[in-house]
Amino acid sequence: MKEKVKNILDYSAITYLGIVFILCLFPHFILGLLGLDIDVHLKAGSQSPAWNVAEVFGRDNLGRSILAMMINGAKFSLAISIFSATLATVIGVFLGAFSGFFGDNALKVTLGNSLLLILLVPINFYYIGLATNLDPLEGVLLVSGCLLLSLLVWWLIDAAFRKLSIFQRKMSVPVDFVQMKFVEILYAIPTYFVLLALAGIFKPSVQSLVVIIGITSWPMTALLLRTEMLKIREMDFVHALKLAGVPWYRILFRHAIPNAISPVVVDFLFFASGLLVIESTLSFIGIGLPGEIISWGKILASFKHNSASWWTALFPGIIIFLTVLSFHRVGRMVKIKYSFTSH
Amino acid sequence: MIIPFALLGIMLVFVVFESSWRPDQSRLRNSQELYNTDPLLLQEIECQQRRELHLDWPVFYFSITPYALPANFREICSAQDRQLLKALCLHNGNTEGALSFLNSLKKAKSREYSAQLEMTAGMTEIEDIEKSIAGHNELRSVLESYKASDKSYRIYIPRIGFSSSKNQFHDWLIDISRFDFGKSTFDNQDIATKVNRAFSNTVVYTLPCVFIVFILAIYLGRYLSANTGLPNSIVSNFLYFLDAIPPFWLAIVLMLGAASAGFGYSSLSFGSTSYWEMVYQYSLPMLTLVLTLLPYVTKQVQASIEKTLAQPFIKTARTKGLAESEVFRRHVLRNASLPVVTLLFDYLAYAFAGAFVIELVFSIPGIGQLMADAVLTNDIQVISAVILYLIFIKMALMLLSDVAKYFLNPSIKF
Repeated sequence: MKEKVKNILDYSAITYLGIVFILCLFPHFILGLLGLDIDVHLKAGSQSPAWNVAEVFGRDNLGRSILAMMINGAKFSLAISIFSATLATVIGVFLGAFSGFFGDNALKVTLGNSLLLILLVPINFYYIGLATNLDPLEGVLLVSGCLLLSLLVWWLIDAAFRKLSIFQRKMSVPVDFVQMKFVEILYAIPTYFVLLALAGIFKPSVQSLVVIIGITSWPMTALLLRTEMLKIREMDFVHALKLAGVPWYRILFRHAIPNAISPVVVDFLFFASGLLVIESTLSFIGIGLPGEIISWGKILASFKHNSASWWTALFPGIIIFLTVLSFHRVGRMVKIKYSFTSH
Repeated sequence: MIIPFALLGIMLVFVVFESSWRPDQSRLRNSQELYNTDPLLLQEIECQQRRELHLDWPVFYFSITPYALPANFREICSAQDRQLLKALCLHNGNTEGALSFLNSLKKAKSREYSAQLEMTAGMTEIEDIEKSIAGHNELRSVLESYKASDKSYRIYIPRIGFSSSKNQFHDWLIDISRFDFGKSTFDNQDIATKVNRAFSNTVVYTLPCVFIVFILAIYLGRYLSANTGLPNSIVSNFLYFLDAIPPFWLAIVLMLGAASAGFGYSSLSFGSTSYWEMVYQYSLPMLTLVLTLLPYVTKQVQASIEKTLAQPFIKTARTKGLAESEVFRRHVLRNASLPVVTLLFDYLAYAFAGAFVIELVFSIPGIGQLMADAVLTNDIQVISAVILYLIFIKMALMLLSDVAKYFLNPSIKF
């Protein structure tokens, strides 16, 4: 009996997500099919639900049909959450893998190399900054020339340094320490406040919202991958690869990361659902997305203009809630299935 | 260990916020000046404000700029003039020519008003400038002489400048160490008092909320670890659903529910003075906050309790004949409290994040409302002040949490 209920819930979650994805892919086709439009009808004004297709969920304060807005808004809501989750996962995987794989002692740099880095990296950054103020062609030439020149300098001076034993002294780079402290600083401030602060700097657009959410939510993924990497670093096959003389980047990208990535992949849907809530909250406040773009949170924002119009808050909220629940459900299915086959 | 990283955080805040801060002139003018269209007077106001805010000072203790830009570039007060000068200087590196062109443009503007000349200042393309000054022979000859000598090599040579303590970062650091955040560019109020007021409004209801959440979580955690089957699944499913609800939507639904149940909750009647009235007004936001914080805290507390229950000394305590409540109070709670207390201090800061949306729905003039307003009005000084406050609070909480942990478990060494 219990299994049956669980199966029904699983299948309904998958079906629901399938419908939402179809809405994302062909919003205009479906709008046409239902005979709806998303135009502003100021005359119609805010209207409570009625028994016809356009007004089944009512109209918002600009007279737009809530159903049409929900169909049209699915695209941006899901795209923003999934793209920003992808961005955060990529950043988190790289940083977490580096900090877990190298720890505080494993990444060694010679004194000469670190001096060169300290010298050359700021110079390159300066010229890249300068290039943004110049003509595009001139800028590209400047940056590429600067990079080539610093490679040449690196090659020449490194060869000279090899003769001097004092520059060959090895120092370890505390990758893990620095990254953990950075994560601590990011965690010190509640996420929403970091998001708001960044949203105050960037111009409102879909891309900048994805970037803002992505660069503030990578620490979870990084911590997850780091703990996994700490285990893998000590495994026999990594030691064997090191002894066989395989370079570190090959071990890291070919062997260590593919073995460590599974918990991150499994958690992806949970992660995306969290970001969906963040996105809808930001749109509800009216921050992050430009005015003309509709997302589910944006529909809820019209509730602020008229707090008697309960339908503008209730139905989009239910859709967000159901999407989050389905993401959780499907995520759990993936988790169970994945851990079943891999162990 | 904390201090260097706090300093690093503060520097990051400065770099991100102050560098992106462009004072919006239209906001600062009083109404009399707002309707004045005399360009010279407006420029004078702009210059005065720049000097008052020390924007003409260098940003940091040292700076690297292209040699083509004049050394006193920041002291030119008009933003449009700076834009034009930068474009000209970085075009062929002839700084003197660019400066003399700017001067003669100013002279021409003061002699006669011409819309075309006014527009010239904001241009960045040399062809556009040539077109717009086509009618002025004098200006054209200055521009020709500017174009005649090409000193492009100057663009690529950096100029490294050192400044004394007379720079913006030093100034800002001294100011924030005195808790002086300056005045808001939006309504000209003192930012420190504004933020203090907002924080006190938020703390007044988040602090009790966090304690309620933890007490509830301990009871729920105990209940969940003691019961299995249907009661457990009902409670845990309820928490699971609660976790999936977006907090701002929960706030709206509760508000609508209370209104339809006849509680007559109005979001606009805040600011009442009577104590009981205040409790009544804060009850719904507090309920929302408790419900949003509860699932995660319960999960953590339950895990901690179950971990302790599996320890052998619990079995010993039971075989000793202690009552179950006694076991829980004396052995489980004591040992499970260490991670719970760490979580509690973490959550005191996180409660602000939960409170932020709730404040927007219920119109509580707290920290979330202040922050959202600041973002919407692009008031970056207020944003940076709030972020700094949060960093300071977090540092204090970390210290308190360490002290509390020491009292709970004296064997912890620092």
